[in-house]
Amino acid sequence: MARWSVGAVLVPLALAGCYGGVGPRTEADSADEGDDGEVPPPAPDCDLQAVFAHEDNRCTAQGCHGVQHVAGLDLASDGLAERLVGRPSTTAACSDRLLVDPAQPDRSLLLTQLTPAGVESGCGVLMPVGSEQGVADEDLACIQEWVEHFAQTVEPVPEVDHCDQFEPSSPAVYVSKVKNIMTGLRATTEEIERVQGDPDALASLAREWIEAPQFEARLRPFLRDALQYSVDLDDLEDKIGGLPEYQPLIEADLGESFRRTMMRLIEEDRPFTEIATTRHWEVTTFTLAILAYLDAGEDERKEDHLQVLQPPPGVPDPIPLEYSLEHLIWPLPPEASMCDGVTRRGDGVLTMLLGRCKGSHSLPDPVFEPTDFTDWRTVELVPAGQPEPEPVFWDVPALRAVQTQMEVGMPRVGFLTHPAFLARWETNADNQFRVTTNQALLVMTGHTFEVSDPTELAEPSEADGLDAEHADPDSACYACHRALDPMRVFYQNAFDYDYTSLGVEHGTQTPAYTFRGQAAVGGDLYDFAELLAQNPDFAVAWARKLCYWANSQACDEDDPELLRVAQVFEDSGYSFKTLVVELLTSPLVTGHALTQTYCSRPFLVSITRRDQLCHSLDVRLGQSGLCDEGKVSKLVELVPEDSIARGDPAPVVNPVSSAFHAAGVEQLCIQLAQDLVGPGGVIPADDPDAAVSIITESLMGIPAGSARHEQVSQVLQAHLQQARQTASEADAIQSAFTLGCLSSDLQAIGL
Amino acid sequence: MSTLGRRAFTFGGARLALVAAATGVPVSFLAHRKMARADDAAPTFTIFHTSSRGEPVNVNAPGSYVEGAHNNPAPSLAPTPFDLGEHSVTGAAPWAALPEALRDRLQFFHHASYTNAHTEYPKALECFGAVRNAEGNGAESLPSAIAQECAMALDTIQVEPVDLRRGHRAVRFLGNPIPQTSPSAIQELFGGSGGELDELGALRDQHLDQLHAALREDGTAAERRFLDRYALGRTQAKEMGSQLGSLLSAIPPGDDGPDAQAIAAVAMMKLNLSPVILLHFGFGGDNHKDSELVEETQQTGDGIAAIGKLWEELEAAGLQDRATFATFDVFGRTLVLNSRGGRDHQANHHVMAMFGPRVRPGVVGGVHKVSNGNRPFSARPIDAATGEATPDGDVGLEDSLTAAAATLAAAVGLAPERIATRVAGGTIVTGALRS
Repeated sequence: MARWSVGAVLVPLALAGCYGGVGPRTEADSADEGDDGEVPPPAPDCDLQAVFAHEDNRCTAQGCHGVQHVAGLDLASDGLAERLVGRPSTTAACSDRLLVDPAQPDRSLLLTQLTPAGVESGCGVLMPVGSEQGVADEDLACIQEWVEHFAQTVEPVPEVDHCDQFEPSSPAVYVSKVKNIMTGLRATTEEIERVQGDPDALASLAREWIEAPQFEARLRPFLRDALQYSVDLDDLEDKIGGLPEYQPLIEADLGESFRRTMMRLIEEDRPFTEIATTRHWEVTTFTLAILAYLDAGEDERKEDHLQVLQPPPGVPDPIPLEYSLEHLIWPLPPEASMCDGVTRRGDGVLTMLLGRCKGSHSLPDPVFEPTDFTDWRTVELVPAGQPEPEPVFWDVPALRAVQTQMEVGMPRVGFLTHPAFLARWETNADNQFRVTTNQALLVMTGHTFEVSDPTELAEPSEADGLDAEHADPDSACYACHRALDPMRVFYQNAFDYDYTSLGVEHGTQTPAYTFRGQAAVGGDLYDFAELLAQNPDFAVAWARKLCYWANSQACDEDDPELLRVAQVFEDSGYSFKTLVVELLTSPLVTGHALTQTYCSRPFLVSITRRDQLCHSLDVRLGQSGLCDEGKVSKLVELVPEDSIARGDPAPVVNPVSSAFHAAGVEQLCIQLAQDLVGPGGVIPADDPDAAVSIITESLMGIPAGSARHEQVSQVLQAHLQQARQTASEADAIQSAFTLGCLSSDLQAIGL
Repeated sequence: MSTLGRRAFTFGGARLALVAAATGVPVSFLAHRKMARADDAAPTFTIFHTSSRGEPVNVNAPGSYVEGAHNNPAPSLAPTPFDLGEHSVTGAAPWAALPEALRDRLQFFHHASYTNAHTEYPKALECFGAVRNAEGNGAESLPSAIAQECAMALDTIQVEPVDLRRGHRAVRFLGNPIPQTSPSAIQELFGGSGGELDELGALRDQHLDQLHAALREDGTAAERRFLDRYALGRTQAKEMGSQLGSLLSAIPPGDDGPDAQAIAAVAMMKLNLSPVILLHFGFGGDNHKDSELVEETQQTGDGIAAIGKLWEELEAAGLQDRATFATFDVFGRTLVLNSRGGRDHQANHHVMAMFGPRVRPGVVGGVHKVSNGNRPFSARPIDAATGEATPDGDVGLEDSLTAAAATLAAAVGLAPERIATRVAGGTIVTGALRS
């Protein structure tokens, strides 16, 4: 059968004056011929656009598939056939299906989604959303005619295919890329030669590098974004206060608790799904005090704690700590006499225990000691089954005594209830935990709610949480909210909107979990955590997170190589270390062989993003915190930093240089040169040969003895020689350092 | 950094190819745009005030003082009659205090954004798929599309927008997030002298090229692409030169606030740095919990004052006829208060406050009460020919976002045929534009 180009079909249709080229056929249509003289099959008589727009179907209504559309499907604009024929669905549920399948028109998604039988044998949900029978027979017949017509007459526009342009990376490049990502260092000659001799040696090397001390530091920013926690809690610090020297400790404690908990799971090679289910948290005495404070009910927080200079009659003098804990009367030293008679409540009590008796007035000997912020241990947090468990938040000695287990009133399980996660995702009476729920799903599954998710809830009538005022059942929003809103009840039953006390409706509603093949009704946040841990997307989701981290871009979700990596991860019992080694030594990261991903998007050499750049500078030059101080700390802001965006499964990673990036790294390198070259620095200002050696081998990481080492050394020597003609020796060496710092050996990942 | 002074070269064929290869914008498109604009009136720069917070710009803007609306009652934002060109309107007092020359080109375009979710900010900027790439396919953010359309005609150093915001959700350019670059970081960039090291910049460029030449020669296509893009960034940085530093000298150190952004935006226009500049002043933010509207009161006053500052800077630079400003958020906020005295998200009403040389002053469209729920107000249909709100206006609520985008594009100076390609189905509200 002769096929016709899109243009050949659309031109006559456009002449017919049909919006979208799919209106009723006119005589003019049959008068046109294809390029080869053959007459294209006549277009159907029915008006496809009218069928789409019909009030019973509303396919092209706002929030559906009009010019402004969802799911990447625009059924209204010109060029409809071009957008349909041979084009895959953009939804996760149906990504392997074509909107109009030219080989099997009956399997076209545009048809199968419109009947219950078609959906049952396929994917996604029945359209129009909310209908029980799909579209009317007459409308279906019209759409069917057009699908067949498109299938017969329209040549699919080939997807952009980068396969042919793919060039494999060399071991010298990719071994260094992998080592750099894992440690900040570049590969040695020996390491490169090992891989040249045996490609499988890369995995052995990666297993060595994962045990290197630099790896944990490299993981920090990755975990921060992948697990979406706050590294500092300014609000907490502002609220609680305390001695100035305690403030950075207060601010960092919860973020550090979270990070240590996750790192322990990795170091002990526990199943990484435990990030959602672990009740064993790394805590300090202060962390426990915060957890106890968050558990405290209104009565406990409203209790008055009296500070006195002199014990009242009947109170022992001096007042022992045990007495204070029991009777809430706290002794003041003479230098804090201005606080005599002042009472504290709630967070004010914590502030008092941290060394502030009133306003900014300090206590010389606070109850909390510096070691209460550093006495890290693993404590199992056990549901108390009742509010306000012991110890109370002001009982610091009892909290210090907690070494292995503590009862908690609010659910404390995995990342999803950790205060450092909750601090990042504030909710309110309008949002009602939707953000918290959605972000927890994104952490574990890499997916958010989609209209096309066909998962049926077992007993939808039992679930609570649907809010018709927030999401009208007749609106497009409802398709996602029908799953999201009952799921948020897991949080709603446990927390108030500020996560600091039990919700007013604690435990009174029935949550439901309906998401990508999993469905369950009832339960609490512990059950929610288990459901998340059992989600079948977990392995692929985390492999993809690492892809972004390593490559600054996505790996195709259905790339067979990615699926293989995810399977190895799963088969290992979700060993995170196995995942890291398998993914980073895969061609997905090395680029040593073609994968599906690099057919859909070109292999990318990225700029060195901020966290990687700062880490590499530190480890290559044997320093720490080079980016944290002085002018460098400001200049480094011009180097893109990784982040996450609310509701977006993909992290924000910028791989591309720009004017400001280029200018920023130049000034950053100049500043570092001025800081590090000369007396007290890491590079001598009076020994050019030694300087060239350090710049080449340490800063740029080029192994001695390699061909590139010789070439780079020559360029640096030439630079020194020419610079000396107008500048001092020290300035010339600083300029050479700047040159090395600006080179792609430091500023690129994968070159 | 070393200073090569003003532009070393303009958009010649070689540079066109380099820009195309490095940015992903097709060279044919870039060349076409250069030629297409040769005989036309020049487009303006675009200054987008944008965020995913959903600022309450709409609640105190002219056109929003309707029965049942809870406009901010603070004395500093008192409803005040004033003129926008020949039109008498009522709005919060600070709008009335803006200079007459600015009010003569200031407009409040009432429309819907169709979403209540912060997470849909990228989609709102794409008008939910209606804003398209150069060929009219795919999806593109409105700032990115306008930047691509205008870069050649404006002869800017870079095609990509510059984002002066801090800590905001990124806007994407051809799929990649645009890095955020604060005024204080730029100041730091040019704040000190590298002394002798600056003087050696040209020599370093020469030797950096040598270091990279061998990599380029032996490298893969991906490796060469990186080196090309990095080289382009360095070239653009030198074109930008240290002039930007001196242009920002009026900004107090460390200040990234509204006035600093306004100064930086105009400085970037002076240097022809980018066709589109993104900034954020704030009008109250995500103010659910803003009981008594304290933040809204403060920030709206400051935000409008910052628009005045931007105008002042533009006038001082003689660039007032070369810039179009628009507020474009993910959604507006409710014209009624929630139980905590703050405002919730409002999908059906957003106001694009816009000024520019092609902008007709006044109110376009409007808002009316349609129900008694938590979000009782909605934007009204618009008559495209007059810009007035009418019950049977040809721009219905469902078309009003694309109409706002298309009208902004027209105000910037894009040709109608390019708007038709870029903003699918977008009706240009001619009544919103000067004839």
